[in-house]
Amino acid sequence: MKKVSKLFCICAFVFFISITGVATVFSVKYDYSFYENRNLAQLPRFSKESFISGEYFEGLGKYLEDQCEAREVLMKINTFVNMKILKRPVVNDIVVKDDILLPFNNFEVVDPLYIENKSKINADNVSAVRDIAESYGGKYYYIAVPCQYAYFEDRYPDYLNNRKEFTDTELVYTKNHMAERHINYIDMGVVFDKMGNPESMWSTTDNHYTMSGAYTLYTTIINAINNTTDFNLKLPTNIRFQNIENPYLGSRNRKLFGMYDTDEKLLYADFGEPLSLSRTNDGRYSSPTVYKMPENKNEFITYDFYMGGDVGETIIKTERPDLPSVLIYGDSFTNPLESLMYYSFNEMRSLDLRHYNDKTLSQYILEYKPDIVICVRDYESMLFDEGNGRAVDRKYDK
Amino acid sequence: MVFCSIEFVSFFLPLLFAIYFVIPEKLRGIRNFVLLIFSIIFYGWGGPKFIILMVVSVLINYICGIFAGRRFRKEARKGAVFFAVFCGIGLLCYFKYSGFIAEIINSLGVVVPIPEITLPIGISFYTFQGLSYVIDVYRGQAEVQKNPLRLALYISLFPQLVAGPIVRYSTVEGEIGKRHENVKDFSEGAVRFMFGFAKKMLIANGMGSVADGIFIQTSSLSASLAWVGAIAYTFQIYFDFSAYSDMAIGLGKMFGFHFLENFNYPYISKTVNEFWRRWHISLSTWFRDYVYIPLGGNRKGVKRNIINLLVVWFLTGLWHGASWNFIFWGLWFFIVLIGEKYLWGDKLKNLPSFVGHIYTMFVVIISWVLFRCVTMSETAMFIKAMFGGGNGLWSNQTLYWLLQYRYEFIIAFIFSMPIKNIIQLAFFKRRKKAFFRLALNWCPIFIALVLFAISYIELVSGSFNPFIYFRF
Repeated sequence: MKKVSKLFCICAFVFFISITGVATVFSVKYDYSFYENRNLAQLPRFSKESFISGEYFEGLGKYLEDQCEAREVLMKINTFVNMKILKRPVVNDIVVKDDILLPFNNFEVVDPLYIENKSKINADNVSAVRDIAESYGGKYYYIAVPCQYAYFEDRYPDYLNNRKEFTDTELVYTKNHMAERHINYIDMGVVFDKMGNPESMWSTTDNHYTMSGAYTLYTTIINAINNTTDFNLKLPTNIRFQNIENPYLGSRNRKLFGMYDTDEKLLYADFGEPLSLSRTNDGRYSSPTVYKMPENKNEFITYDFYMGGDVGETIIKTERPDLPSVLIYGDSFTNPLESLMYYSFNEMRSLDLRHYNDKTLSQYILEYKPDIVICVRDYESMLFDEGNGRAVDRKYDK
Repeated sequence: MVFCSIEFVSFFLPLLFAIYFVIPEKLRGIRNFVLLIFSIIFYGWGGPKFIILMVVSVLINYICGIFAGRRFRKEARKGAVFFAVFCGIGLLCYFKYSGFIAEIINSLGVVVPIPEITLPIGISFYTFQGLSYVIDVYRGQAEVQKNPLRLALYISLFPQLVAGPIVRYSTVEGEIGKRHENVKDFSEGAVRFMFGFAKKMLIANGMGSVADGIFIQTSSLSASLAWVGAIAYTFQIYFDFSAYSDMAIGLGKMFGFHFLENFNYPYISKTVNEFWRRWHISLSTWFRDYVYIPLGGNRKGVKRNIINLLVVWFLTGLWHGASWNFIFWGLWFFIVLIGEKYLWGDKLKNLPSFVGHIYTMFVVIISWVLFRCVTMSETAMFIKAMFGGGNGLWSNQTLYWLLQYRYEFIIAFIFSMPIKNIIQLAFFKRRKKAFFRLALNWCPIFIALVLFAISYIELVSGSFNPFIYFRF
């Protein structure tokens, strides 16, 4: 009996370690992990230098980790156990509550001096863009929008960091610095506060606002433009919002491997009147739509539904020369806004400076001279000096 | 390479098993050669340049070992030992301590450039192993190893190469040339390896997350948070390091080597002295046999004994790392051990045992704060916070760490005590009954396999996963 148990142990152990290796060697290799929303490590290129420095082996280790057989299934099991069985409050850096998924914010000591300095740099940068726009008679608007942790800050358990202190400090300094520089600054947090922060404005499983939130933003911007310029921009009067019935995987939900029960649906806007448009993405003609419609009813949809996700440069023309032109730049928060905004303009350009690399922002604005320039930044990334927050004359630097 | 990685578990180990065990046992030299090559690959995985350093270390010890043998005159033998110690400690000083020494010189007002030298993994361990060989040969406790490959295998043997235990040459001297790999040893080794793997993946890493998350906030800690962080690190360092030792001992056993135990439930100790008889046994016995006793131990009076202990604990602290924190960590134990030996030791024995446990754990937890913090000012802030001098007594964040890692805390608490031994003994006493006999045979295997599978899932789900004991 003793010998049988020992032989069994050896066979099981050796089989387990061998099969995981063999299966990994013969497994299909992937470039991208949908659930993690990131590129997977690829086989590193061998060179004498990388071999000697150990970089090659490090890369190989990462490659094996990312490409090991059944990785996704094993991660799904791990997530399931942590979420459903062990009921940890935070799983995969996501705060899991019955009715909402929120980002886990690291615990931090808020440094007001640092925040003030960053917001000053940001305001200087924004005023430089504004000056460029105004140099040819354009108008500039800077829009600060909450991100999910800020919109739902009261939904965090007391023992977690909802970044309220950081957000409050950041907003005070930003507001002051923007006012000192006479920048048209709109804090959407204030607008939503006045509305009572309705839950329908924000996704409970993603960082972004919903279509309703985007529509509120759209109308606020149009009203602000109408109040500060001679343009009399139109808002759609017969707009209707319709559900997409397909299951929606918010970015946090994706990270929880689609096992979190939610009936959240994405909405799209029907203007109730025909409006023809042409569209290019990064200089190439694209289908003239602002929604990436699913191919069938069962297909999962993500926030990429709006405008097809992040694109470096998008141009939408509606051939109504009596209307002004607009340039919107910002991160993915601009996507659902763009799907509405083109309604009020003859030409709408949008830039995502995390991806666009042809020109600097100043070159772009001076070349196309849009009548209106809008920057949309969320509270979390507002003070970052990379991507859409980088200096006006700094080019894309990958 | 680390044990808890896909490349080790799914590639290195199966490949080594396949090649090693396909070679007939009688071709011991070839089996040893395979083990040596794989050990070098294991070591060179993080950057092959340091293989040269290890080879140099082997060569120095090999040559010095020959001259330290009995066939040479006493002066030559002494010279060989001196040369081995000089070279071994010299290399260790250069790679590990030159930056620290330069910092000290700078702080004295003499400006010298601070060298940026990468610390070769495991240098402290294999330097001590090499020295133990030469000294044992000099003392006549081991035979001269004439085959350089065998000595290279002893020093570079991958299970204990980078994080110990520090295996004495005399422990494996016989087994290098003649050992018998068998089903019993392999199976027991595999079980030990799997348990070690699980300890690291399921307990140490969780406790590490708590400690990392809290120690990074030293300037704003409440007392509750500081204690949770310190206790988490206390569990992390034990489960991390003892897990590595378990895996090393288990792997050694699979290849026919029998390394000595390195831990014996240190957190159940009733005195700090007892703690050091149970913690990192291979290091404390190394210092005892190669430093403390040669200095005279306790045989030359109280004054000399205190000086000897001071030297040993200063060196023990310094061995762990080139910073004042490690030195003060060593000196902290020196003070407590002197106190136990000459002041309060006897009184402690007369008190109820739970007082001894609390006292020992208090001393140990404070020591780990010294060990974990990077600077002395950070340590002071952390300890101050533990006693209410930080950001109040309670912060809600404490609740998060306790809730998020509640299972790990409970499991760590239970398994830092010899529960396994107690259950095993109870079953053993009843082994005449078939059920208990069956359970004794099968339970450890099934539990180990299940835990190993769960740990593998955790490994795949995790990302960067270093062993904390590598920096020594």
